[in-house]
Amino acid sequence: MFRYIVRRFLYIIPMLIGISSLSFFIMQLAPGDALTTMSLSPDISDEVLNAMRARFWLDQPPHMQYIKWVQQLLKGDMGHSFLWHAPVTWVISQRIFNSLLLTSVSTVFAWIIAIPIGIHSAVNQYSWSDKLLTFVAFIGVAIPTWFFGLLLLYFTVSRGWGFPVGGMTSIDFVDFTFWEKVADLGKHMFLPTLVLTTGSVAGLMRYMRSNLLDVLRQDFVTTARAKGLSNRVVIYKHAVRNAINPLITIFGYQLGSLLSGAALTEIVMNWPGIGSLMLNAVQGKDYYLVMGNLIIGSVMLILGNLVSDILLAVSDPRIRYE
Amino acid sequence: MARTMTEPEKNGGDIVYGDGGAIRSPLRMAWRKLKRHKLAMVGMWVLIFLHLFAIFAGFFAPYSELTTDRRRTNHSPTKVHFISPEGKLTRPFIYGHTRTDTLRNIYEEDTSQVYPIRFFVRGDKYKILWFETDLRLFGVDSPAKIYLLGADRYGRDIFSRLAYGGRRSLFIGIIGLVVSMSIGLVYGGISGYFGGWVDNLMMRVAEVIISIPSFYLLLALSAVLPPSLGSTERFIMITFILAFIGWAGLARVIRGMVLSIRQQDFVTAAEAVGCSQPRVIIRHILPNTMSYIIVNATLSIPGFILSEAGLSLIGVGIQHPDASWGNMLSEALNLTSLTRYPWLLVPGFVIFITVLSYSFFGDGIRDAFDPRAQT
Amino acid sequence: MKRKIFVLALLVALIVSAGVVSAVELKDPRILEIESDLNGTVGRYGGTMTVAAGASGPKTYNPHRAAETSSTDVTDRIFEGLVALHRDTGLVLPKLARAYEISEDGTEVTFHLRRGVQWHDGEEFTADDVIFTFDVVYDVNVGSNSRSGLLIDGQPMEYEKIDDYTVKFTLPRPHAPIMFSIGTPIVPEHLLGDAFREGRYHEMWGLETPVEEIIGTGAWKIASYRIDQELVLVRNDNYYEFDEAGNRLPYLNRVIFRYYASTDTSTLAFFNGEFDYIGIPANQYPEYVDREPISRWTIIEAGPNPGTTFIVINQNPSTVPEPKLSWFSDVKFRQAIAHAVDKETILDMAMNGKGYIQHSPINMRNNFFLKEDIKTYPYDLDEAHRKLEAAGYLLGADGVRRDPQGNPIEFDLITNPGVPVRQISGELFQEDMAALGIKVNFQLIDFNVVVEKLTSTFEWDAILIGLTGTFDPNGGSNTWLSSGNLHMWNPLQESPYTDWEAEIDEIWRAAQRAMDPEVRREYYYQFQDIVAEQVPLFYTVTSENMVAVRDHLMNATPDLVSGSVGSAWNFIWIDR
Repeated sequence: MFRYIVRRFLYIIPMLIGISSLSFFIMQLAPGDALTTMSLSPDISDEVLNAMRARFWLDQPPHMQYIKWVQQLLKGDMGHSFLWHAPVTWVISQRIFNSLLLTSVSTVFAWIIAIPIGIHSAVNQYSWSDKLLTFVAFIGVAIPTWFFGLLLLYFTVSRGWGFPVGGMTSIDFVDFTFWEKVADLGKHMFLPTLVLTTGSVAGLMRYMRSNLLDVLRQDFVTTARAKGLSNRVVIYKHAVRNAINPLITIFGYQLGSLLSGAALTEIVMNWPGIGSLMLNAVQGKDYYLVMGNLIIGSVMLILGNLVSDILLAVSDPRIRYE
Repeated sequence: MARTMTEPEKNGGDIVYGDGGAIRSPLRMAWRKLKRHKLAMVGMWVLIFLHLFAIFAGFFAPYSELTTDRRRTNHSPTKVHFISPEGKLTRPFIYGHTRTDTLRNIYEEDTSQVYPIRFFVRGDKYKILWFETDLRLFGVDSPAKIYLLGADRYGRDIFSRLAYGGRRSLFIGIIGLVVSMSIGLVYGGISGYFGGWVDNLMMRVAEVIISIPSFYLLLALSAVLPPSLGSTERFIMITFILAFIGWAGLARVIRGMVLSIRQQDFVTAAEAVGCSQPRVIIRHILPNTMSYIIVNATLSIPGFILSEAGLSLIGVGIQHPDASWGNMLSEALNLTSLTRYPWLLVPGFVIFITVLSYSFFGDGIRDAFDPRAQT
Repeated sequence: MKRKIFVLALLVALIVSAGVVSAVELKDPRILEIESDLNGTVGRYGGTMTVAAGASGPKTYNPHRAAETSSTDVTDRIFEGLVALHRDTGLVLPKLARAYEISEDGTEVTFHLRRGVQWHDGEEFTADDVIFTFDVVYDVNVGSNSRSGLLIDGQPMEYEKIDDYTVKFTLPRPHAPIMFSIGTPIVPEHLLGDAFREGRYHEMWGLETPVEEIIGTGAWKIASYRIDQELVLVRNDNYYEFDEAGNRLPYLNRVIFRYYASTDTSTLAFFNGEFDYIGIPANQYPEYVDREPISRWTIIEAGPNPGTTFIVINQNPSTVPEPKLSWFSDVKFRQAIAHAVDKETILDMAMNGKGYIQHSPINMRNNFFLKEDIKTYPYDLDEAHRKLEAAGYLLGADGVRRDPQGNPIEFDLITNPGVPVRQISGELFQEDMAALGIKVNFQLIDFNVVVEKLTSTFEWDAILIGLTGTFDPNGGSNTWLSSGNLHMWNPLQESPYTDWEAEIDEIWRAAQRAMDPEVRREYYYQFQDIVAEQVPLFYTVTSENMVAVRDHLMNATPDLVSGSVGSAWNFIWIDR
């Protein structure tokens, strides 16, 4: 196992080269560059534009741009954001914490809620509570997450629930004491967390339910029951453990999307995260910012997948990678 | 798939799916079980109805999807009356409407104008299969208009557009699903079954594919696509784009499950009796991932329907004024329609119904084909 | 409760006459006559004002690198120019300059700087800062937004320091619009000079700079900025403006910008009481008007938005294939289909009727130059049909219209998503053209792709797009001069391709030289007549600028030049 993990770490480098070079060239396929929209401004002459293009190497062929970018990256510099006139590392560092906070809290909540509900639904298949939960879950699937956010904001305002509409902290946040800060942050986080959690509970719960149903029908469960083990022990100790396999892979996958998975929700809830930042960067063709985020995101995805592979082996001793 | 799921033989704690010994038709057995599953049957009938509604859109819809009425912007749903002003029960009719508030788009009934709803009327021409006809299920005489579910900003009938949009959205969902699922299944199955370096290589490739920003590919595509591209070509293209973007995540999950399944005794047994590898994967291993696949399928359908709307925005998807549930809904998702024109959100409700029906039907199918399920 | 504001032609007429020809002198330090001149009240000190400020915050604090309004909205508070426009009259008024004079022949402008003005760090502002700023602006590597407006026929002005408080500019030729661009923000030489000389100016004062280091002369200083959340400005206690009662301005202690990426969210946040004023998007007007009677705020209608929205047809001979080129460059064809733009319906559907129909390229707020009685193309499909038939584009029995050579007429129309008025205009146009037997393929394409086609590949048939308006007509130079890069239908021409384009070039240059505003106006009237006759662009509608202001906010009236409240900040006060 140890050798396997070491090997997987070694793969990260060629994979990053693959991901970054492919992405870089794909970005170049799309027409225009970060300065294109500027050419619509009557205040900026072509001369100025060309000078800026030269400064950012945009006048060079794609492979040269890529090589320059890699050279910089090796020196620990992720390059310069066109839109923000600032180093990419700085731009990302301003927001990465906000996004991670929101997405990780909602992910934790989603799992805490979804797994028990899924188990309950499976154990009590076709009971009224199962049907009701299925129904509610699918409302969550069919409503786009961010629209659910808008809906909540609307009710906040028209019903006077007292939550702030958007934002992450109050204006005087810096002057607060520690506990005031926690309370303030919690108040701002409540609605966005609710939105994101609702969005992902449905899927997780359905997966949990259906896999557990499968396992519960297998013979070893009947055998275990026949041996006189209590229903609780059978379900929680044996069945759930066998049913959790696909969820582990999903978990690893979710680790990779913690950064950019919530862009539209961030926009509606006015959460200053990296998802909405990336949406702008992608649309504005801010190459180096996109690449910077891509690299971080890919590393997280690769690590997340590694974690899930290890967890798979831990949860199911039959799985071997060699 | 039904053919592959014959009665399993019990063997120790694990299950072996054998090929021989299937005397009773498994399909008929499954059908019998499915029929006993009430929710699944409801789901099935709703789906059949929705698909018929979409396929015969021209007949069910009173207007064509393109018929606008600029003086009836955001018209509220028309009330159908059964009681005449004199208080007698009559054939269904509607009143004419006048726009009493142009700022808020409020339309009031004018009880002096009565328009009976007529059935099997001649309306806008449409094509059904290869025939051209103008026969429509119902309609009212002009100048009145019947908006069962209200009208959008251009005064187009939401009910009619739902029918026409269903042609695209329902089938984008299904075809996209089938394509992405087949790729994901086979890819994940192979990777998990062989394991070792094959698995390693295939999964690293999948990770690269997941990481690549597809948005730029689509942008590049939108720049070279001529706007005059016909809607059929567009439809095919969208379906495949969506399918190819979505398969890698599924492949990873399937692979994780296969890694576990292939170690079970029945696989070893199948290999021992000389089944070829593709046969082992397709006939013995993948069927065991079916529960997951069915849930994944029902959860992906709204994803496909809604992503299509995203594609229209960068010029790759179905373009207005052609309707799709996705582009109808994305037009409607804003504060104003929420507070003033809630009928614009009906496409979202229809997507919800579709997904729910697929899900119930999927549950039933799984139970029906699972020999151990108690119904 | 509603207050309406109109642009007064008379006041605007003063602009140019007072601004360009004679000298203007003000008392020093400057006294703002709030009651008589600005129609407000003398206020009380204190308080914080919070405003909703669009989707995104500043991208830089450096005023000569700021390319987007999200940045200039902030830098304009911190940095000031030699002159500024009067908020209601558009008159060019001295700002950091105490006075200026223009020579008889119009080629020399001398500025007398205000004495005793301090940078926020206490250093004194002098002529060196002015000279330095113009060095920066004219350096092509800096890429300042102000640069092209300060070039005259591609030539920079000459400028020299006469003494510590006097600067003289020499123009290559008389150029009336120069006064509208000469008020570029002045930056401190003592802080940025070294960086500029080392070629690092463009790296200076980005967002990663600590906000205390951003030093200007304006009424406000940055106190903090959390990116795309909120930006806090605090008052400059040493600002040189006073009200007539002798109080040092501004009244407010703090102004906070809050940023909202979605207008739905910012509208809800305003209803939730989270800030003091907000610009109302025309499509959300009903939400506001229904809440106004039960809320403690008031809607102010502030006249037309300065921008334009139009359909432009490509006439570029090198990229438009035949037979499309023949149709598009046929003025009769353009005049006919100009009748197929249903402006009333666009106004109704996209803006709830809160807006104006446009016929002319001139900013609708600038009544002085706007010609009312020009040729218009009212929505009339029958008229369009008659004109097309008369020009030889005949409607066939199959419902398809063909050109005289028998080619069916069909073309593409593209626009970017996310702007309702464009999408609505496009869909209506497509439908109307179909009624005329012309197939228009309307498609939404990502903004970057649209711009790329418009300014670089030139391969398109028709585009639906808009431009933001400048107050002075000369701001449209690169659209209307045939050599301009935004001369969209056939850009960057070596020499005018058609007679009417040549005529516009000539009129435009003559208008720049004319120092008498009445004469300038005559030229722009001629220009508008030619555009109306040739219809290279089909203008559509522009929205009403509307602001909702909380009732405790005093003096918060939109100005006449742009219709926004921003120019009133220095004398807004809170009545509690």
